[in-house]
Amino acid sequence: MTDSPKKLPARYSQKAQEAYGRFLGSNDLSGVADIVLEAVLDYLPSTTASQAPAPQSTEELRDDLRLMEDLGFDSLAVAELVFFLEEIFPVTINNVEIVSVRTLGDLRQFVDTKLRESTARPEA
Amino acid sequence: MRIQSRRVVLTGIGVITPIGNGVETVTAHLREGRHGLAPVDLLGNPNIPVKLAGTIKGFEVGSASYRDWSWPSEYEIPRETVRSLAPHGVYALCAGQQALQNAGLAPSDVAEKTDTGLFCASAGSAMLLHHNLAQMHAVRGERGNPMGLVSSISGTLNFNLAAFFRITGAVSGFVSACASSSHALGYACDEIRLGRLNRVLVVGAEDVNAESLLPFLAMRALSSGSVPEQASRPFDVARDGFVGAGGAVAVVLEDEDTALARGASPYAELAGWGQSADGYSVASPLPEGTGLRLAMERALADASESAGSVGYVNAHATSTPQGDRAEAIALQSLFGSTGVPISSTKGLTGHPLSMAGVMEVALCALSMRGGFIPGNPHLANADPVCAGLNLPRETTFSAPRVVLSNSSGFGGSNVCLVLRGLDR
Repeated sequence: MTDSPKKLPARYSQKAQEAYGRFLGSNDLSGVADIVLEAVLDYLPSTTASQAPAPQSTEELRDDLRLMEDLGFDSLAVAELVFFLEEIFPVTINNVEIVSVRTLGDLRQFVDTKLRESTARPEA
Repeated sequence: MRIQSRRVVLTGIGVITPIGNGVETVTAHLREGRHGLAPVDLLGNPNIPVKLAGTIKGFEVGSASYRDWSWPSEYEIPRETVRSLAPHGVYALCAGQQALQNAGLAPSDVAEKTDTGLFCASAGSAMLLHHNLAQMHAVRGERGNPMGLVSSISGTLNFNLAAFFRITGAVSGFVSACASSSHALGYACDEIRLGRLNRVLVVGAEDVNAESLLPFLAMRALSSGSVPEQASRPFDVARDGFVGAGGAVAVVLEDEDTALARGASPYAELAGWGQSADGYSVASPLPEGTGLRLAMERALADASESAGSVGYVNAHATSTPQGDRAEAIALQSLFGSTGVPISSTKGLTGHPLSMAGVMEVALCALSMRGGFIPGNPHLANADPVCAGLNLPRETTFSAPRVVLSNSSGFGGSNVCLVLRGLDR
């Protein structure tokens, strides 16, 4: 873990800030999906791969949207997003695992599973 | 041996400097002798004896996270570009966009054109490098920012600007400390003269922060002055070091025929250049400035000009005791009593390190177009070593035909560039 203070950047919504507070305070995973979607929006390229207008809110981020093909993430943007998630959550995501994550639904599920594993361990 | 070949002209200028962002503002500050030095609070430590820097206004790039940054709204920098930039990369993208526009070039005129190259100079971002490596150590190497490398190492400018402007002719970086962007201009000039490229975007840029400035304090190279008019005063007997600066300057160099064919109005010809090496010290110039003199002689020969034809010299003089002295002696030995006006615009801008050469060539081109010669407004009492040199304090309203711009860097690297007015 880094020695930097554990907090979300100030531009994240009140809802995400509160969800993160609940996670840090009591390992409450109920709001983690909201945080993940806000992070996706935060790292979203300004142009989408399909030339469609880029989503402006988390409500537009449907589970079936693919990070690369639909949302225009390149491999470095995915790496940036993963790095950020590793910074705020006690998870490590390796290169093989990243490749298995194609859609936003995959990502949500993946982070949730990782956190259930890590928070189940007493030292986490 | 002189390269007998095509003429190179300077057709576009973009400036994000301590004395303004944009050619109109910078030209006005230069003409009016208004400096761009401002108080700085480095590391929140009032004990640090560095009180001033040549700062950039209108940008907020102090944080190690790009997501906290902002820049003037007229510049477009997409998120997928800013994520891999250093602070000075933001300045440089803005200066690059300005320079193309100033040259009358659209982004599509340089994108994927194999006759267009990009030469850059910066020291990289020590601030981001430090931040990224500290983070790497904190997690014992287990993970890191994927953009950490390309945003911070020396070369970050070339990597990012080449991708952003979609440069396909050539991309390279130059690392000769405070002569870096002068080298970039010189080699760009040669590539065009040799017919390898028709156009080169030359960019110099530097961060302005504690990490870029304070290493020079450790060398005892910085002024401790808190009054701008007294802190940066090249050639003054009481000078005590330079005032650090940063920003970005971009210029467009073109083959003259290529430029005229598209209806461009060049500022000046880049008529030649010369370089030399002192072979003497890692940080100090040859005391008698003989290395710099050789660079000037070679530059004049390359441009088929003589010392007597030079109408203005933009000196490297940074306001350090040793450097200004060596340059003054070199200038005396070459120009004797010709009375050529000499000034160091670093009195106004501070010293922006790698970016100094391209910034000063841009300032020379702007003053040539504006019909004036910049003065030395902070010079109160010239060092006796400058006896015989014409160091005007005030702006002179005349249009010199041949202008020299000097740069010297660590390790005794000397470069002189020659600008010549165009007969039109």
